[in-house]
Amino acid sequence: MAEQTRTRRRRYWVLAIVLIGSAYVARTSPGAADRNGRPPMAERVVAALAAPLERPAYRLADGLRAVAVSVLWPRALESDIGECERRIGEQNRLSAALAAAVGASEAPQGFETDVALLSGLLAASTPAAVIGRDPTGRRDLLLLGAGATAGVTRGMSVVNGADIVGTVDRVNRSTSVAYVTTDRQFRAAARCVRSQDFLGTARGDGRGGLTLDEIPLGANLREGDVVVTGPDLNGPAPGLRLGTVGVVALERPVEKTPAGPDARASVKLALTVDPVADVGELREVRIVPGPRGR
Amino acid sequence: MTAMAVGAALAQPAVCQCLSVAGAFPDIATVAIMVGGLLLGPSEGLALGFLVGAIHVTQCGHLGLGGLLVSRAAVGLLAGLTTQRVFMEIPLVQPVAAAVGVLVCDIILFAFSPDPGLTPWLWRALGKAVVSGLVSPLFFWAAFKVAAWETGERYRFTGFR
Repeated sequence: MAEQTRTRRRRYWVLAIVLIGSAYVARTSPGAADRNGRPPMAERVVAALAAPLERPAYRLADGLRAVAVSVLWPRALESDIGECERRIGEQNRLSAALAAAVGASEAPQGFETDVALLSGLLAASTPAAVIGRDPTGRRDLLLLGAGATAGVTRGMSVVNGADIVGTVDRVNRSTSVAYVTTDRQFRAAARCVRSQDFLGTARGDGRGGLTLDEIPLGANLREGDVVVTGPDLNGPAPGLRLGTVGVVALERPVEKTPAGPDARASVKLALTVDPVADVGELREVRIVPGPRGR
Repeated sequence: MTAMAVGAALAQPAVCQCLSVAGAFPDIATVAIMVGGLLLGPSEGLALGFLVGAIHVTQCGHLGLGGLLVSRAAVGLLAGLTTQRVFMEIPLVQPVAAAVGVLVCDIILFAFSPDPGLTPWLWRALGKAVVSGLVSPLFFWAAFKVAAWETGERYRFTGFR
């Protein structure tokens, strides 16, 4: 009888601790994140203890994958290596062609500004290893191997070359979590490189794409255009490539939009980004500060 | 058992990144909670689920954290409550129980923060449950070995109750 009472009491205690802990984390964490981006103390302690083991776990999982692929599908491994070499060669050729074109012609002022801006950003960037994804598999998140000790703060942009990969959301002591551009949480001001028009806000659709809606009427945009991040004090650094316009489809006919200076058409875009789209293949990224230095 | 669950929770992001097959990956953390809950009982399962959820919280952004904790803790509790009804020694029961646990965990999480598309979520959850079920015998085997070692291998393991 006494044993049963003890067991029941223990269960009530565990239940109470779990409920209070869940309510604490659910209420405190987003509020603390809005203030300074740093999680509450309890989460910081757990993260600090977990981080040294997360990196070896990643190396172990990556090694297992390599062994499994090489044993089960040796041809797939060979084709992966071939594909990687082909991509590197293609990027090198493109870079050389671009450099030759810029050197031979008088480059537009905007292009020079973008190059200078990107060079400055990359010089101030912090390298970070990708050590995992969202453990639930429901969000497009990246777990990065650099945190507060490396100078990472909430709102910084995660880039791969000149392509934006995501935005840092949670900063632990030596790890951080970033929303990928395709996550529903991601927001960034967008600008078309060809026409230099501002295109409103690009949002991740959670299904592997980016959506631009409420594009100002008259914006010069067509399929194949390169879209980069626009200037936004609270968003990611400007001039980073978001992707190329894959599909332009009007969500509602233009003639039904209200007339006047505030008239807007809602345009849905599917953006395809070659180097960034395959986030699963990313191993190393760089974290760059935003316009406000964070 | 706790070490196994904590290890699985720490390795879960890496497993998602590296060992994903066509978008489906084994949810080893939830499988470890299931095994722990089934072997140890409801309150221990609840605590184990909460611990794993707390580790997952540090690996996610700042949204849906309550759902993450509650779903893991609830799976541990439910596994513990069904410990006398699930015959874990039968090999076929182990993957089925683990798959059901992973699916229940996803459903609870979905209730807290629904996805925009129901069908893609459902396919993903089913895929994850199947793959998790396939790897679960490994966890049951390890747990039985540990339990047998703890009892000095004097008895064939038939549960703690």
